[in-house]
Amino acid sequence: MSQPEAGLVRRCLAGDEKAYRELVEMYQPRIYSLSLRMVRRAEDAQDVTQETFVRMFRALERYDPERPFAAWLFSIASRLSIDHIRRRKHQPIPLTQRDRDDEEYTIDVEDPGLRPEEVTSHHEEEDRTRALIDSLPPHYRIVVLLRHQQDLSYEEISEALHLPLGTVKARIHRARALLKQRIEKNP
Amino acid sequence: MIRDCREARHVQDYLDAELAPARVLAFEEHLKTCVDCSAEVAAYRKMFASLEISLDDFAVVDPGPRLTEQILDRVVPSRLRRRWVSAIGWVYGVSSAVATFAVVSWLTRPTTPVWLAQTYSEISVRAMQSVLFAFQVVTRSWFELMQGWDIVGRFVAIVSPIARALARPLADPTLGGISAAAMVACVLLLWWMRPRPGEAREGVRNVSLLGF
Repeated sequence: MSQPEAGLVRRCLAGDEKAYRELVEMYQPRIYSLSLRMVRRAEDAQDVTQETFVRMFRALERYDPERPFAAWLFSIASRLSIDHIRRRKHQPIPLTQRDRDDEEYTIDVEDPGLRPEEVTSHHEEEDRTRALIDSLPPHYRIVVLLRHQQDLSYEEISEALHLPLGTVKARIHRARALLKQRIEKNP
Repeated sequence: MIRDCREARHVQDYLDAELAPARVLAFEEHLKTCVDCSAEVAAYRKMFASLEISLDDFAVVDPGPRLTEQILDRVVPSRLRRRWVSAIGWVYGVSSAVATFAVVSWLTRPTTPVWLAQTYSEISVRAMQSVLFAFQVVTRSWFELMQGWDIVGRFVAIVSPIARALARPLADPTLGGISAAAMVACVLLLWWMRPRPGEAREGVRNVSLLGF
């Protein structure tokens, strides 16, 4: 864990209320932007963000300082975002897909959210790339967001999603391939 | 398209800088000769750039201080305490107000005093009945218990010979008369020794001496 976060966690555990604020302000925009891309509605994203921090603070005593703090926080946010999508659609979407030879075999998962054309029609100001990201199944979308939006390394994503490194790489590669395919189909 | 080139599987690892240094050099050499792989690298680079740009906008999204305050309200210990105290205070205040209003409006109704008097009388009667019933139950229980242990029988067996022995001399007319006269004399003596108003207490021999 980097020094400022380690210090902040220690101060939070010691009851320093300013540290609570600093920790929230440090990560709130990142958690919110990830949640917003996942759940798509601002209100839902705020709920997910709020719940992420509440759970993080409640579990702070059990936090292992050896683990990267950002990965730990993103693991909570990712789980909550995906749970939120599941609840909203009443359609189970597996976060952990079984892999065969380190490859995803479930790739044509039904998109639980809006289709690209629906997204663009509803939010015309959003560009095509965003629409395409939104069209990805949640377990692909989350890895793309953690990698390209939050700049997490493969190891950190693996830590955050509790997935083997090989699975994470396979998912990211597959998600990008899907995006590229869709871009090529609709140039 | 690069469907047939085996090296194409390294494109994403190459762009992610995940390839070993030796592998990077080899792949870069391959790119010089493979048009398909070069095109694939270029396509992915373009897509990565597009991803970075479109997602960057979201990376700076900040829901604002309101959300921060909402989060802090739920996690900071002193705010949590304040929240509880405030919630309890509100509940207490509102319930008191409602209860006071309800009681006052009920008391001011014309039928309430009549109802109260009837209820009070009913409760008194029921309470008295309950007390008597409880007394009767306890007494009866004790009596039954004593019967069960034959305590009454044994008491009568002890007392009856003494009573008979005392009754025999009193049955004689002479002894009975003397005993009755003695009792009357005692009563008269006690009456004579009664305390009288206005008399000095000190040195007066009256029934107070007997502890009455």
